[in-house]
Amino acid sequence: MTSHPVTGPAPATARPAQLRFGRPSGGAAAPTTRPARLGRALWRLFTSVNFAVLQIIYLALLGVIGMTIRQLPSFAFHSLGDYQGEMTKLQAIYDPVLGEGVVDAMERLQFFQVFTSAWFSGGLIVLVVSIIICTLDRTPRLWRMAAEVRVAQPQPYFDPELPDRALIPGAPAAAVVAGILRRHRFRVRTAADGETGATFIYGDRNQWTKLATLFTHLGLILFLVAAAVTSRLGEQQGLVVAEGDSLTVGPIGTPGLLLVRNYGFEAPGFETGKPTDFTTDLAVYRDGQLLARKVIRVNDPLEIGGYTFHQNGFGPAPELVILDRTGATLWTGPVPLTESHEGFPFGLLSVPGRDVGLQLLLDRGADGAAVLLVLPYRVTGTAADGTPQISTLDPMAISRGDWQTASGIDFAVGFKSMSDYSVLIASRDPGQGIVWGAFLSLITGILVIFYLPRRRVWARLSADGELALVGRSDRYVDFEREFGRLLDDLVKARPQRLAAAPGSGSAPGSGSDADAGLDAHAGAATASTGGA
Amino acid sequence: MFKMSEYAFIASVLALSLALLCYIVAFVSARMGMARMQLAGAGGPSISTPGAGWASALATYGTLIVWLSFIFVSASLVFRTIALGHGPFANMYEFSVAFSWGTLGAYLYFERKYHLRTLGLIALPIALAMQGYALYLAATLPTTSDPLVPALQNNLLLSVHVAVAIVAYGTFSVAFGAALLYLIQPAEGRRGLPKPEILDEISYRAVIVGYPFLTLTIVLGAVWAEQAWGTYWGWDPKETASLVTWLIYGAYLHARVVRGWTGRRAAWLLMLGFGATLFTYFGNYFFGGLHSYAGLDQ
Repeated sequence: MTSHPVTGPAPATARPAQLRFGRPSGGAAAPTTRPARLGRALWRLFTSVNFAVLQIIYLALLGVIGMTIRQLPSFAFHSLGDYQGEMTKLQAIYDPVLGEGVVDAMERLQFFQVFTSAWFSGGLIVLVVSIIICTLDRTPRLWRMAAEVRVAQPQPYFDPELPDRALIPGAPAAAVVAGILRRHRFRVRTAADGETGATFIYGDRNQWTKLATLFTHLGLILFLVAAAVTSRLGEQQGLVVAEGDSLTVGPIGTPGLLLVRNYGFEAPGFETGKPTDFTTDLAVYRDGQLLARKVIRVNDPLEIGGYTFHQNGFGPAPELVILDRTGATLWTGPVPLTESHEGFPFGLLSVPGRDVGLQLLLDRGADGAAVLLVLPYRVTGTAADGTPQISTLDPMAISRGDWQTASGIDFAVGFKSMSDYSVLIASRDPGQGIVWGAFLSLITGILVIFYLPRRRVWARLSADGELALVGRSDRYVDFEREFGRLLDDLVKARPQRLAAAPGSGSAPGSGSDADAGLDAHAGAATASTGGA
Repeated sequence: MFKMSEYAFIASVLALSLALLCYIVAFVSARMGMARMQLAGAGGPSISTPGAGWASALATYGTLIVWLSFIFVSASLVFRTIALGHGPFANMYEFSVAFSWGTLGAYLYFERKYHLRTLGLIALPIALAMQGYALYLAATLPTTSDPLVPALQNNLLLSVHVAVAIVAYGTFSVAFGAALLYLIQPAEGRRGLPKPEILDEISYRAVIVGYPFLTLTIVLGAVWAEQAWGTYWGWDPKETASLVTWLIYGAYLHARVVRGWTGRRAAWLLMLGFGATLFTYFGNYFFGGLHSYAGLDQ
């Protein structure tokens, strides 16, 4: 027990401890210079709860826009063609509803890329600034509220007419009261009033937990820092690797370059339309040395060499062989059909050593077997919008195991077999540690704030054995019941003679505040100690 | 086990319907009794009529039947979990049953704590609507579940991620119920309804129970997304809706704790919050995205 002697009576006009730390007002001289006035106005704005609520509503509205209006996928920004293709799709959706020209206006306002728009980024930046300023503004007050403890309170503070008060005549000794408080997990301090002979007993539980709000705010800031680190320093690339094929993770020539090899892809149950799994037997090499090999699946990636390889998608990859007229091989291997044309897998292949490309479309024949439609083409120029101009040659339909050629080309195309390609996401995220720190900070902060709130009890044991109590808590807890239990224990601990006397002790709040009808006991719990 | 689960669920629906009927009859009877007292010039809480006692008994039976309904729906979820080998949260039928479980559980917790059965007049219809929706899905779709799609094959995260979401949704339903009861009263309160300040307190406490769970839902979802797809956040409609919901309840808590917003303004924020909760719940129907496999395809 820590004892603090009180040198004199508490002034009658003293304010309760928890009211001492109000926002300082008018203490500092008003700024005279214009920048100082502007700075103060901005500080006030960023610490205003109304402004914070406004920001949240603003971001929520943008979120609703982003959800309800179809957004441009990230690949739309890979090339002009992709962008135009996606915009055409948006026009097809919205023009009939909104009228022509509206889609272009909406695109200029970035409504189709809300989450990367200036509107959203600006909102996030303001939110970060706001959180930082609010945290800076509140921290000193929070610290003072937690650290500065007032054990002795003036007598009016214990007025039993006020809420959250109790008065117990014939109370047990101060040491017993302190022991009961400790049993209720309060940290106890005492002080003696030399003039009146009263003893102040102060119990504090979870004294510092209000500071957890700083962890919550720190968590939010860390999330945004992590997002910035990831977008600046992180890397994410999609790798389309057909079965039996290899691919480098990054440009050739990069020091420490990784190479991935797909040893096989499986999608059991795919033929039924309900695949039960997607797996890739994946090996990762560096400088010709095997680093790791693992069968990866959607929820089980491979982490190696600073990268994490995720199973992301798959598709068909017909194995082609292309021979020239002499029988020399121009190309052999699987061709991933990564695009889709009218619902059919579609892809392109440039024939090595020739000025001809092949458009490949996978279909099924009448017997259900795979048929590869091959349309050779030549690039003849470039259109005004930058897209290549092509002239197509005679198409071919090749069944599995067949060979075909066409007029205008000097090679034959063979459809050897079917295999699959696997789409892997290789990600390297230096912000990952920050993200985990942010999660931890946010969750810890919220849990502590809501589930470990501070409770305080002030007790004044007068020389004639009357115990006056005040119980307070942060507003997140059903403290009335806890206070009631504490009072029960204190009443039980009184000397036997007094405890038996009827009506002694005035633990508050047993009165029912019942409304008629369904709620026969309504209010019994909350009315017990009122609400400060 | 699937059959056992279905029978238990049907029993829960029937019990819940009966409980709601008890509540409505008890409430209406009590209101009529009070009206008669007022007409007769009588007043004051100490005066009772034979009708009031009957209504009170009916309301008590109603609560017991709500408990029965809760036990049945819990049993339904347990049977289904045993049958599936993972938490029964992989499609909208299962999610709707779980939503009703969360709402009933949250209601019973607050009813037990505050003895406010009137809350049930809002919370029970929400739970019953979810059960009705699940029944509709069961009637139009097979109720036995196919194997999980590959993206959902993470039993631990699937169970925990959705279970914490259910707790959050359930408590937000109660907060909504209390806020709605607050808003339909004049400032000085209305006889037969709980006092506005108690409703204000209940809705606040419901949110502070639910908010950490919603936070955990979003965090676990982000962790799962990173594991499955290599990115914590993809602005998928459902995750964006969750974030919007989180922001709204965060605004409510800040406005209330820091600024002392109580009463009607706070209640309106809770209306908005519950709207966002339902939007999050049903959003994948309208907007697709990464959570679309949790739709009607089962």
